[in-house]
Amino acid sequence: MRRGRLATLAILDEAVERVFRELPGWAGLAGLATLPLRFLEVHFLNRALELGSHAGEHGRYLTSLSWLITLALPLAFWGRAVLAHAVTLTLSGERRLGRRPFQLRPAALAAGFYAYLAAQVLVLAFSFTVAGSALALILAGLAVATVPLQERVGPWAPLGTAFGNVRPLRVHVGLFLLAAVAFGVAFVNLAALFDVGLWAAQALPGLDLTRWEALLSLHNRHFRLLLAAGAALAVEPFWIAALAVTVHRKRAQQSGEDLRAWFEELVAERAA
Amino acid sequence: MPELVAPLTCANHPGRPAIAICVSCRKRICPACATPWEGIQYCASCLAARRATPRQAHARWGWVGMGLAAAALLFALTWLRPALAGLVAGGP
Repeated sequence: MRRGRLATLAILDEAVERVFRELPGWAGLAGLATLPLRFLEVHFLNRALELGSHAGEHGRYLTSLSWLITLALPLAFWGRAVLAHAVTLTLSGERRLGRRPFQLRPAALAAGFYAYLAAQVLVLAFSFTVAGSALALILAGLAVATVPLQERVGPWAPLGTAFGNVRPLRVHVGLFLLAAVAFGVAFVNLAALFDVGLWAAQALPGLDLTRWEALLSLHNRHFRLLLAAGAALAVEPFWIAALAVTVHRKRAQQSGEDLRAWFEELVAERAA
Repeated sequence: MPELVAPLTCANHPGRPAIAICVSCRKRICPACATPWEGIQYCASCLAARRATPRQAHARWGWVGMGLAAAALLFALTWLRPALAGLVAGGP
């Protein structure tokens, strides 16, 4: 039912199908662009946890690492914005994307990045509350997914465009919870993959794996953080695509685009 | 028998059924008048107006305002991270 309420699972199905069938390269690009950010975040967290109660005494060191993370943000944002643009273009009926997903207007990209920064500050500010940080993460995702819709620059307009799409909240929360479950599954699978790799390497004669077993053990905090980063990298493209689908479907319902697409489908079916 | 539901017709072509609403002027428009741009339907006149609008002076102030706010957010983000890490890793 096209004019029914947006359904979380239907949106997720569509996003996953589009990423797998039409946009695997763009999802890969988003992952690659996010890689430096995730590695730097892991390094920062590992160092902060290593320092423990002495973290406060090494403020300048942690701040320098924090600057590196901040510098990696634009690249990560760009990769994900390009993916969101590719999803929006395919939803608009584009069959041959070519280099079009790269052709984001600079103003839209800047406005989207500004909204993304605001959401990132909220993520940190609410990091001690589960619901608050979840909502802030959803806003950060929406800031990426709404880049193609950003039309005006200014201190308020980009925030309105990005965060005004938080409805239907029910769908966004559902997608976030499913992404959280997928993150857990990806984490376990990655850990199992490394275990299998170690087990297979034992078959090689003359190979001392003692050091590798210690490094790739779940008792190693650094390895756990790296697995978490890997799981996030695996899940993120699908989540961003699902957010882009939600935003597009909602706007299509408002503008009548969905009825036009439905009519075209009906005409095509009748002709066939 | 009277028609219970009035047909929705195009604002520019009264004889044609409307299939969309222009997101800018909210008028009903037919397929001939509707142009999707970045996945959003506009009527021809609104699309033309969007293209013809010269860069306004307040757009420059928009860039300045957004740039200043973004710089403040970048600093807040960079300073918040170690402060929170210190709280989490070292306790209160």
